[in-house]
This record gives sequence, structure tokens and C-alpha cells, in this order.
Amino acid sequence: MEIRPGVDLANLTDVGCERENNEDYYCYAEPEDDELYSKRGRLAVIADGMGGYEGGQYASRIAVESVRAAYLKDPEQDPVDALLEGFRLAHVEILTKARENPGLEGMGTTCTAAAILGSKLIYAHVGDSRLYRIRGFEITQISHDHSYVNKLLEAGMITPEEAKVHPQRNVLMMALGSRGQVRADCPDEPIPLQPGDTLLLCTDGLSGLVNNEEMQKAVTGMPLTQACKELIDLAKSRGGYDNITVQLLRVASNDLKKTSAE
Amino acid sequence: MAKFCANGHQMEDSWEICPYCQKTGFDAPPPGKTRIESDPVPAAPRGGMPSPGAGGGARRTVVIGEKPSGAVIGWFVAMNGNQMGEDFRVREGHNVLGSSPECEIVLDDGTVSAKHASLKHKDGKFVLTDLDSTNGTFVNDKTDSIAREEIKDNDTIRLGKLALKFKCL
Repeated sequence: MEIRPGVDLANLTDVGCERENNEDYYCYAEPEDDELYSKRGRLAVIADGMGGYEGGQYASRIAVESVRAAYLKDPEQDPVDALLEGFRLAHVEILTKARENPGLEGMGTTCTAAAILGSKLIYAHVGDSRLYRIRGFEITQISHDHSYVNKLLEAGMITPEEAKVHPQRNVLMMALGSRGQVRADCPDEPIPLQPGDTLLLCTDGLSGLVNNEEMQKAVTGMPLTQACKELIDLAKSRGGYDNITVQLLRVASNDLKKTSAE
Repeated sequence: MAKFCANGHQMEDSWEICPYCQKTGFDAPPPGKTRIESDPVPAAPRGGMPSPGAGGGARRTVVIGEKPSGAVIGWFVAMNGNQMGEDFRVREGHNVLGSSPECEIVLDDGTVSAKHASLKHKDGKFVLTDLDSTNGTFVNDKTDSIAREEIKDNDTIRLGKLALKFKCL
């Protein structure tokens, strides 16, 4: 696919050091049609599937495909609503497929979708994959982990140090396809971007083993393609327990006026 | 300029086909279940670095799926372990048993997998399915772990080492 000038894009996924399957899935999309592009801009999605032998791969793919299809479908729909619609459809489809196919029972997936619209960022998020904005030496985590440990941390019941080694740090409170109430986060207002800002989307195979400062250093210190490799190699050098996926989008200065989310 | 496939996956210049999105019959359900002896929820650390909390401005949260709340049609009672004597409601439809907080029936036992087994009520029958649990699901005195089996009132099931008595209406 041809990517319009205005962003630098790099992405990479790796099965890691211990898994047989890569249950992460991701995409980058921008409409070919210029009019639709002016309403939708650019979309990046990542998902980290889980459950059974095949279910995880299947769930993450359903999520990414549903979000992309819903986002690019109706240019008149509010972009955040379109992302959320994709999440809803994915959730229902995962539950339905799991019900119909015993081999897929219990499957679920995280999903984090970010779109650059003009000079603004919108997103929708469920689970513990992450979205960061890197601006110079500053790295800001925009998404909010729906994990048990994060809940304890936010309630002040454990310290950040305890969280790093908590025995239940692998427990997710919510995922697409999970039982119980599923809620997605999205921004109240689109988040302003500046020229040179870089968005980093990753699955917990990266964020579980590589800290924010290391991510920021890699992203600002080398070309993005190399930064993806560097970050994945770093996670693998520390055990690479899980699948690892990273997407980087850097906003160039000349793209900010081309779409109209203002 | 880097090369990308139709799904936006970055490719090496020498690649003809993207290895991440080759057509694998996505629309068709994958083939039958391959059992492996592992936990359905990854045992490796997830989110090892804690989330520092809200960043990037105010956010709102939107409900995209509701908790099913069917009628109570039965109970499990724990016969051993930390929750001995505790009862767990079984509701119409689908009930997942496991140690994860997102299960309908949350069991606090080290030998129970995050999503260990499910109990489905359909056409008057209660069908118990093992969800690729690490330590197996057993019915009454059988020593082989089940894949799927119908259970009846007063049966005792065992998830790992945790025994649960089943009562239905």
C-alpha cells in the first residue's frame, strides 16, 4: 500500500522467545479515497489475543479487522463513535464465534486503536496494550491499563514497586470477548498533536519488559524501522515471554492541515 | 520509503508476500480444537510495568458489552480448599469457572486455571467443558480429565484439586 506523505510509519511483530504462536495482530490503514481520507485520516490498530490454542490469534484478528472496517465505513459518523462501533462489533463477533466453536471458547483480545485526524489524535482502548505519545524527551502513556494490578495501584492498595512483581500482574479486568461488562476508553476531546510527535502502540510483550524511558530513547534516537527492531530485541533479551508488537507513527510537519478534525 | 502490505504491515524489500496476513481462511472458523496442556490465559507476565495512570487528557468510558444476568438454575458448593462450604450460582446460559476475576464463577485455588472450565445449560442439559486447563477437569471418580461431559444433580466435579458439588433446580 502507498502511504501518503506526512507520517513516518514503522511496525514489527515477533513471536517472542517462548510462545509457539503469535497471537498479536495489527494493521495500519488510510483510505485510498481522498474525501474519505479527509474525514478519517490514518488509523493504526493493535490487538493481543488470548485463550486456547487457536482462539487468541482468531480474536485479535477479528478485533483489528472489525475496527478497521467500522472506522472506514461511514464518513458521516463521528470518528470516535466509529471506532467504538468497531469495538462493539468485534466484542459481539468474538462472543458469537466462541459460542459456535468449542475450540474457541474463552478467547478474547485487547484492542487499542489510534487515528491521526489533522493535528489531533483520537483513540479507543480495551485491555492492557498501550498507546503512548512521545514528544522530544517526554513520553506520556495515553491509554489506561484495564488490569487487576493497575486497579490496585490506582486505589492506592499497592505501590508501583509491588505492582511490578505482583503475582496477578497477568490478570486482565477486561478484554473484547470477555464475560461481564466490557467498557472501552476513548478521549473526551481529540488530543492535540504537534509536528514531530511520535505515537507508539505496543502489546504487553514490549511494555512488560521495556520501560518508558527506554522506549522514548529508542524512538528519538534512531530511524523508526530501526527503533522497532531495537525495542523488540530488547524485550527478547529480557526473556521475550510473550508475543511482541510495536507500531510507530511520527507526525511530519507538513501533514497537519490535510485532514479536518478541527 | 519503506514497503507496506495492504494491511499496513512493514515488509522487507525482498518480500513478495506479507507473512503476517497471508490468507488463512479468516472467514471460515479454524479447524477443530487442538488440546494443549497449558493455561488459556498466558502464564507469562502481562503488564509487568504498571500503568502510571491517566495521561493524555480527560477520557470517558463507554460500555460496549453487558454482563449476562440469566436466572439462577443451579449451584456449585466448594467441598475443599480456601472456599470450602461456599456456594456459587449457576445461571441460565454460559458460566465460566476459573481463577480470573472475569469468570462468572471465580475460584480461589492455586490448581485452578484462569479460565478453567465452562458449564452451559442447553435443552435441559448441563454440559461441562474443559477450557484447556493446566490441571484438568474431572467428573465424580473418573481419573481422566474430560474434554466435555454432561453433568447431573449431585455430581462432584474437580478442577485441578478443587472439588465442587453440583446441585441443579
